[in-house]
Amino acid sequence: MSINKKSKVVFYFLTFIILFAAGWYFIQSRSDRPDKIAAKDSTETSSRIQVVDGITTIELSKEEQKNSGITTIKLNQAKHQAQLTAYGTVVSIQDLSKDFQNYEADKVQLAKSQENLLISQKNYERTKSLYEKKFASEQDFQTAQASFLSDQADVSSAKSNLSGLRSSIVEQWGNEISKWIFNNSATLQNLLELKEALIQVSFSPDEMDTKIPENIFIQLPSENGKRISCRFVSAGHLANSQFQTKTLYYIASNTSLSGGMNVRAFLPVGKNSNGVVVPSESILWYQGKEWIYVEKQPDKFIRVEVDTDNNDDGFFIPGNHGQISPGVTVVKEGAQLLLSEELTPTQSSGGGEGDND
Amino acid sequence: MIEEHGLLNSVVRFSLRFRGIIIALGILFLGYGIYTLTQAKFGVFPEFAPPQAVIQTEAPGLSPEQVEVLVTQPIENAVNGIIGIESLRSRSIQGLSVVTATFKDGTNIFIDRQFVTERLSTLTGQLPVGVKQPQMTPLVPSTGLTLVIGLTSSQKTPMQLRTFADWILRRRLLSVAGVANVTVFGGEVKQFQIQVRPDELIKYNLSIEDVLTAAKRATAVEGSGFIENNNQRIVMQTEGQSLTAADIAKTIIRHKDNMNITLGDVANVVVAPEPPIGGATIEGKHGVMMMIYGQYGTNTLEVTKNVEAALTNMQPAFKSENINLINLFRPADFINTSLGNISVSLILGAVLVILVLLLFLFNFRTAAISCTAIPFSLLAGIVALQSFGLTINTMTLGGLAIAIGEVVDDAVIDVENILRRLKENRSLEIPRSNFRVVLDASLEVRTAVIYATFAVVLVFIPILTLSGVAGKLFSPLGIAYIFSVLASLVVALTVTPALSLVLLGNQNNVERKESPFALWLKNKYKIILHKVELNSRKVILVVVIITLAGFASLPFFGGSFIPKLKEGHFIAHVSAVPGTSINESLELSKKISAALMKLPFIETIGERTGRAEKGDDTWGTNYSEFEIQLKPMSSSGAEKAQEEIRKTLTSFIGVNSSVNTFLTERMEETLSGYTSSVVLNIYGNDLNTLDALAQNTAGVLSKVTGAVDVQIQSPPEMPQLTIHLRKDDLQRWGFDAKDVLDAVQTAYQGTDVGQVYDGNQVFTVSTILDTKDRESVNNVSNLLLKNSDGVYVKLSQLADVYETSGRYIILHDGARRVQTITCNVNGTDVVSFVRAARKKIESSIKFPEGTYIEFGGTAAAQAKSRRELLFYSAIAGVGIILLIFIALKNLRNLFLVLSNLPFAFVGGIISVLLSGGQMSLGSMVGFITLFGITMRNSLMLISHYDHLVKHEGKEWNLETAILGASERLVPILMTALVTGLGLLPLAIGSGSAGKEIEGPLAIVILGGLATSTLLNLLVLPTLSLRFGRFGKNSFDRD
Repeated sequence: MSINKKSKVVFYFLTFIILFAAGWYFIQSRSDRPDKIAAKDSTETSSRIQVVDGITTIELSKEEQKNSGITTIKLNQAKHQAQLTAYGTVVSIQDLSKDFQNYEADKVQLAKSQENLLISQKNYERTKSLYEKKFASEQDFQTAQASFLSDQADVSSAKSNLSGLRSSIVEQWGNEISKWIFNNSATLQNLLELKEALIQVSFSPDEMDTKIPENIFIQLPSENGKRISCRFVSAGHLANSQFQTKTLYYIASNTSLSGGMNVRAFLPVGKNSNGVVVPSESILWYQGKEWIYVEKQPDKFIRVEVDTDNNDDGFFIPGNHGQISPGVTVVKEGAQLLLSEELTPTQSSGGGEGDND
Repeated sequence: MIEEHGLLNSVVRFSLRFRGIIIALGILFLGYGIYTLTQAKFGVFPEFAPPQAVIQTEAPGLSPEQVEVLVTQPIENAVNGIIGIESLRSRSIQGLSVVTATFKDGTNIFIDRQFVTERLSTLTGQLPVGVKQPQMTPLVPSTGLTLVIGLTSSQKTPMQLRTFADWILRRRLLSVAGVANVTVFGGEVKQFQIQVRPDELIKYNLSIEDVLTAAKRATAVEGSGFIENNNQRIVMQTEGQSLTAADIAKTIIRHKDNMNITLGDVANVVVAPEPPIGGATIEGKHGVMMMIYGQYGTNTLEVTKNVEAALTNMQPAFKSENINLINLFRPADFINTSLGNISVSLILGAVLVILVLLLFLFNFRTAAISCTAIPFSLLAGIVALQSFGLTINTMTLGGLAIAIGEVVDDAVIDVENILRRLKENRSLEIPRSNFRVVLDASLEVRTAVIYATFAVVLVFIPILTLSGVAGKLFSPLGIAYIFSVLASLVVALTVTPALSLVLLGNQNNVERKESPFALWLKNKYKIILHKVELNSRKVILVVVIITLAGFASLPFFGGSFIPKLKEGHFIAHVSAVPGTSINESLELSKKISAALMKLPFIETIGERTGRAEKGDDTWGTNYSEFEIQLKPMSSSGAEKAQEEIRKTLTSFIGVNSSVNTFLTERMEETLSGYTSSVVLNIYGNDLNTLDALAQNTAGVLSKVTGAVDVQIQSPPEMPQLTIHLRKDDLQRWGFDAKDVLDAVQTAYQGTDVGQVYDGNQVFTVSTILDTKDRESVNNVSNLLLKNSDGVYVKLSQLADVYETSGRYIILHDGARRVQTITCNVNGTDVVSFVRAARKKIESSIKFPEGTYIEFGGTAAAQAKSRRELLFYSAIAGVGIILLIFIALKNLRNLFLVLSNLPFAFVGGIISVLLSGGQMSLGSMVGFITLFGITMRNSLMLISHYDHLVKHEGKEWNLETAILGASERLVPILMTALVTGLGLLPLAIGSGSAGKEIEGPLAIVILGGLATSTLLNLLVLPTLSLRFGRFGKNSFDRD
């Protein structure tokens, strides 16, 4: 019996030990799982984003910035003039010259006709007086009268021709250039001597409301980047048949401009304004708007909506923009990664429906 | 006593009479089996993907929304009604529609594809003009990736490198036997570009159309016919087409006033890179990545060998071109390692089994006879697999490893009984002939063994009926197991009696002593049985308590469908927000590669961004995949490596990343279409609502413990420039919409106008706007178009051009719009995670009417597999009970046999607990297998009791119970030990490559076998004494 009892105790003890060990292992095995590691990972990731008063801030250590290639740039004061792009053509001097020559010829023709008329008129008046006094035959009188009337018609015709040509020139070249032709101005001579060049610029109808700029730049297709300054001359009265648009005439010192050349014209619009220029790689498109990331502190970045204009060195932001001003540091490289970090679902606030932060 | 007639009698009698022939036939079969083995196809896993057809349609220039409505929907409508189609998923991205039709398991993939082809032919004329003909991608298996290689060169330009890859290497690789497709990423695709300068067009009063027409003429190739005279037919060939950029530039657009205006006058005609859709970096430098896919039904190892042989042959070319070839991923390595590991387990198991037989049988000849069952049965299993067209893989080898104990057992029972009866026969005054004794002894134990074997076969039926990936994975295991066990039965009926008669018929052999170890065990066993009997109530009580405790712990188990596979290789997915440029992605990839290469365990690293032409993926330029090859390391090291890689990736900002192994991803992709273990599909009609819900759901999901790699598969907010045509203005200026769309497409996407031949290389000629005018968003509205009157009009005069947000991709599932969120699970099991996530999402987010959420991925697959297993197990259970009842013909004895199951279950539970508490599908299959083995053992004991009472006339009492138990002690222990030891090598290294799925299975069987053997030997005799009724059956009582 004693053996029996002893074995019973051993048996119960062993059973208890097995059950206890199994239970302990079960609890341990569940608590030892790497949940904590995962939780830590996710906390680390989400801690980069903070939303305070609806403003999302991305917090990145210097090391993280270096790791992901985030670089920044301090913005400097810049001036900017908004501009429109249009197409233009260097006016062939032949056309201008031809018109000028025609005008001069017509003018001479009129003068000649007028001289002839003056002579024939005097001749007619003398012949008439003689004829009335019966000192001249009727035939002589009629010949002088015919000559006078013919010269009178010639003058009318020459005047009409000149007037037509003037109208045509005015229509073709506008008032100002016509004056140059009519007055044989020094400017016209400069043009004819190729010291200056005339450029006809075509505006799209939707751009016609813009106030005509006094000075513009043109750029030749073959000379990238080189711009030539031009000054306004007059508005053309004829539409450009190639573009079906109205035309403007500008004049420029002729460096390398030849008639018939097609040029790109840049027309300043609006006022010259102060602001900053951001590099083109800083600008992001998101939700149909433009954004840049601003460094609020060395390790904190926020996304700011901007309205930019093209600039030779990047994009211009006018000075009246609240958060972007000279001295502000913005992200130059890696802006897309910051946007990606901000929009990663793990960073979503996870609120209810309608929470789109 | 023994029936003289009947099938079994005839078979055994025939085998004994023609024993020489039987043995010769056996040797012949062994030879055939070995031959079959040498011809077998090898793989890591069985082909687990259902038949699929992937339809790709290029729709140049169309936005995702347009592709969805105009291309994807008509294709879905055409394909949807095909017989056998199970699911239909689609992805619509800019310029491309990809529709994936998945068919039911068991359908013929070639017929399925034929159906798809027929349906696609009905779409002629239904798709918009400019959209190309829908095409099916090459048929490749789910794990068809054979090799990933990288090309780098310090002396070649990216364009030269890519040209070499496209026109020399790719063509050579495609000609290798078994290669289905080669996709190429990175470098620069060579193209002749006519980059139009708009200013010059105005200068010469030309339009883009004029340039296109001239460019087409420049590269036109026309046939010339032939001349035939009385003697000969002479074929004519024209030459002189433009072959260089300079030649193309000389093409005349217009001849006027004795002046030629050429393409070169209005455009830069240059050799330039095609606008890229993808890129690649190799070990942090620009390079080219090539992914080589094997054909459907080919042997990965063989194709790998062929490809590597081709690459070796090309070494001189690599050398002369100064190109470095880097091996980035070789799936064959994992196949070899896995098969090697599991083969070693199999061999070790067999050796252990032989040792146990020698220890217990203490007779070389009997052990040898028993061991013959091993090669016969295993080779029979392999022959069966081959005839089913299945590969030799870790699952089938696992099935054989599980069966190894069972197959020996049949022979052991037979030989052990023959030996016993021969001994008894020698003690008779007038001994019977050895032939008769062997015949009777064989038949004596056969009936129970046959019933037990069929019960085991029935147990595996639920595994064979599993659907989906689980079925594809485990049914080959079941087939291998069932055929091996059935083969062992045939061996036990034929070869074993024949060999026993030949080898044991001799008196000297029979007279040998019983194993001293077995004798010692029997003596101790009898003492213990007496003690148990004395404390029977308490013992039964403890058994019941432990069993109940085991069952009670069930709800606390986690589950995972696919265990972590130790492939020695990881694929890391990295994505930034859609809209990220390819340059930004490649720069980021370089930085990530540099950081990863600092990790000491990484051998090579290659990265690809975006997608490849004719590739299956639809990734944008914001998406990159890294092929990370690890240095050889232990299983635990690989897990740490994965964590390290994950940690490194999370240190980069703006990066959504996930890390997984190749095969795990392929399985997950097969299950849900995504390479993640958890997939949430939100269905609805309104894309904006779906986007908002997806964003919120992803936010909630990311806060659930264990969530990693949370990704929205179709994230919105991709920057988009919309060009909205104004009808009135189009009319005013004399344009139709297509004129404008064509001009925009030519300007910004480029229009292919022809090809240029250089030897056997062909390059496209494309007309596109010059780079300077293509870069700025603001320039788009200034694009000049020319109408039929020769008037130039800016695009802004015809259309509103404005920036907005778009989608990179629009997803469909079952022809419904869907937003999908995926994530992986770390630190907890998938099933528990999904449970928690579902609860949190349901309480946090209100889904508007018309929208609903569905969970997919491995958790859903596991739940489905579990339901199927339980359902079919119940059916199989009824069949097994009926079978055992027929064998025992007694209800009480039937319950005694079944009483072993709960205790076996508890053993399995304990072993699962000890190995980490994860109830994988492998564990569940392990339980099913365990029940079969356990039932077989208890059936053998109960049937022996029945035999003692019914046939040997013993009275049923304690003495008989102990006698019967002690007589069955050695066979039961041997069965348990051979089965257990056969599985031990599999269980011990369950974390190593190739054993990830069978390891948990083996662990469950080992644990369950231990407890069930204990119960079988110690408690079942006591239970039988109390509740058993032997010598009579249920019908007698009635």
